[in-house]
Amino acid sequence: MRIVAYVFHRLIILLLAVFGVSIITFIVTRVLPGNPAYLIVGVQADQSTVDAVIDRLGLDKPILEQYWLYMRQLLLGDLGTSWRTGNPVSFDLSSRWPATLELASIAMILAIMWAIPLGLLSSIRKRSFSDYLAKFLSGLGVAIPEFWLATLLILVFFAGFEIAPAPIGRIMHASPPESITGMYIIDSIITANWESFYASVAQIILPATTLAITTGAPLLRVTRTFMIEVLDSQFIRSARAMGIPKMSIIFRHAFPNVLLPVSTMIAVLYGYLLGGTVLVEYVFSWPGMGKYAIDSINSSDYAPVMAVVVLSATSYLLVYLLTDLLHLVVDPRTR
Amino acid sequence: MKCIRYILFFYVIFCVNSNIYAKDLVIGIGGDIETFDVCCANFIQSHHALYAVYEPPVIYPTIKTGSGALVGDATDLEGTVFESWKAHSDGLTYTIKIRKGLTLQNGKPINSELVRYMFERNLNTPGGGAWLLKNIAFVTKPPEIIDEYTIKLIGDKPSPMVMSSLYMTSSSMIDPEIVKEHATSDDPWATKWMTRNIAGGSGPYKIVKHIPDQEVVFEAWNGYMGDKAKIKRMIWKIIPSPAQRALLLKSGVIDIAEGLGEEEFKSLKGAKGVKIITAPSGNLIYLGMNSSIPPFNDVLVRRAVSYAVDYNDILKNVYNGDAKRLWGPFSGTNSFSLGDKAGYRTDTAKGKKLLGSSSYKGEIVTISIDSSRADRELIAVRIQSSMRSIGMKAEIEKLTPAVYSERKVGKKLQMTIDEMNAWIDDPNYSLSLTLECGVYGNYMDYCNKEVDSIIKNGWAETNLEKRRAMFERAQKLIIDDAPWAFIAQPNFKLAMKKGLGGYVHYANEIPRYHHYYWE
Repeated sequence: MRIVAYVFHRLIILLLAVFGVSIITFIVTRVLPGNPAYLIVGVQADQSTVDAVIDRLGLDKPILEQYWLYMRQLLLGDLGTSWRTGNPVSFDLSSRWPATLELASIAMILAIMWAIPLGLLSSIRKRSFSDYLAKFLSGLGVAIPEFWLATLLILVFFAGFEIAPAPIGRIMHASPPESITGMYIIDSIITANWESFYASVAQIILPATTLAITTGAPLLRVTRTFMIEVLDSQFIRSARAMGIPKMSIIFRHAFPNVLLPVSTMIAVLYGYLLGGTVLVEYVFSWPGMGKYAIDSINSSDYAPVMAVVVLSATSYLLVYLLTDLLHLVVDPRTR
Repeated sequence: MKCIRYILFFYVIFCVNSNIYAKDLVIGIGGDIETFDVCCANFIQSHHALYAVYEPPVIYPTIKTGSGALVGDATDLEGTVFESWKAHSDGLTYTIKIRKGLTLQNGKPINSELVRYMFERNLNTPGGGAWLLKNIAFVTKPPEIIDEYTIKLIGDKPSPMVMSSLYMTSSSMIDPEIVKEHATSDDPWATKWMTRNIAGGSGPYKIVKHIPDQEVVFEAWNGYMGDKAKIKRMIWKIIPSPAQRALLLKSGVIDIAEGLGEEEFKSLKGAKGVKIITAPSGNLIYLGMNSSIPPFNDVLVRRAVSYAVDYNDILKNVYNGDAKRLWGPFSGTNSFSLGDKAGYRTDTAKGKKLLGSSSYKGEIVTISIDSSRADRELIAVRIQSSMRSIGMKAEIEKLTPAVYSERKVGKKLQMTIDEMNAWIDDPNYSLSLTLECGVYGNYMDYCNKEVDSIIKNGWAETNLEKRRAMFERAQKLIIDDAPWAFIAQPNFKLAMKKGLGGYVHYANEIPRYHHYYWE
């Protein structure tokens, strides 16, 4: 019962936070210069056409009235219409959000797969080859810009060895699977469309690897640092003195204590990835939310900017909520 | 044995040929199609798609130049939907015959009713179509229907450009029934629906698939009224990064890389299997100086800057020699251009002297540029340095496209580097668009009453020699007033696979994809 109340309390806070984010984003987008009407009408226009567009978009109304109208629309489930694509924003996001979610999730899984084991290994075997490798990779992952790494991977694996497919979007040489979740890999498994499955897996490998390398680096550092701290603690030394097997000490006694900071770090990184990874999406022509957001910002397309920010904030907060709930399970002290 | 050899020989020939004809055309483009609405396309990718899917009533005929290149002849017009037209002696009325037996892609016959609807919708929607009809052709009413295949179009004032204004995508044939079906009381011309949908279609290609921000697939329409598309399937891949488009062309994944910058062309020079098509362009690159913002309200300052600019450095180091010097407000391809008989040559001493006698007091001026255009910054840096050489301090301000547009249209930019490509290669058209007092596109707020009167009288002047004299005078006046420093006319360039032929260069630089073929 207390958990239900806790979740309810957190959801209320989440709603308030999203409301706050929406106010800030709305004011910032409206106050900053860059009236979209001038881009919409183009070169061959006159002032009356510009005024008509401003009137149609409601940009001549007081900012409070504009916000009230936007919130009323939002509460009815209408995210507005993008002037740039001509589509309702919800329609645009229905294809872009799953693309980002799919890329972020695969990248996160890959990051967890390499960063946590290497972090553990380097903390156990200090000053060994694996320790030096971990230090090198974590330093490199943090220092390398994503777009540079992405370009490098393309040049090596696509242009050089010719083993990776061309970096053109989510699928090549096959039709996208029937849309169920919007995530091509999941949808192709559900519909048993193996041609699409292989094609979409092949396309996602390079962008996901790029992100896995850059997001795995801080995860590796956190795992290594906290694991070293725990392994030096009193209760581990006692366990060693009592003759408990090494594997049991590491995985049964030490690792659960590291899970708390590591899972928090995973949540932070996953939230960041869900916000859209603009540069990687740009380099790999990945039609995700990041690219959509940047195109919209550049053209002062307010409705998509608002929707992307609100959606990103909501996903960030939801990931945090889920992490906190996970903490309740892995760490009894937090209950 | 001989028989088997012959069979094998013909089999190989068949395979090779079928492979050629079955080969798709894959084009790498920078962004998705913004709108499918013919009335209101203000973005370049939309125009590319609209010319593939819709057909305007007139086109520029294709001719072969001395060098063997194919170009759309901007001095002539050929009817597609329109079979013929006759200008009446009043200079206002045109009787237009519509070609019989033509249909839209959905089978609907093209007749007077359909053509009239095109005019009616254009006149009532806020886009380029309305602007062209009202401001260039001076047509404010839809045409009268004489019979099923004849209409009478009456303008309010005489204009030599009534027919040529109809060659743009805004005058394309659409299905009125489909538009009306999707009209609402708030949106009687169904502009919302038309943004994402095709109303009938009348061009050489049909859109068969569109995955937003990923790809667009076109298939040739066999019923097309003109030369049918030789390549049956065309795929547009949306690849935002120009560097990736160049790499994919080099790797053979795509056949044409559109919208590349100078850096990418440099990387493609000499690449195996890639050719770069170059054509003289009507695109003008200029440094605008706002005539109503100090210190540029002083003509001496504007002239001083015009003398200071190192034009050769820009041609050589920004455009790598693939550009011509621009001497005045008209492109070198325009037959009215004075060319190098007028204009400014770099002369720092003269620039210094002029600046010394001007009202300039040593204040810092701002060169604002669009941050999305890579070449602008390269030019701006060089101009900043040239201005320093005559004792003028300048700073560079990079603005996002939306902010840049707002400030440019609001005539609030002190200095800017911008471009202008008049899609109709006519002096009246280009001056009325950019340098007439008070017009929307006169971003540098330039005003000269004599130039205005030439523009006004030029619309009605049909005598070629008189027109030439008028516009020579206009050019001299503008050059003397120096609202722009006339910088360059970069060549149009397009990178494609070797073996792909048929590219035709039009004045508006929008490709017509049905001309392409595999050699």
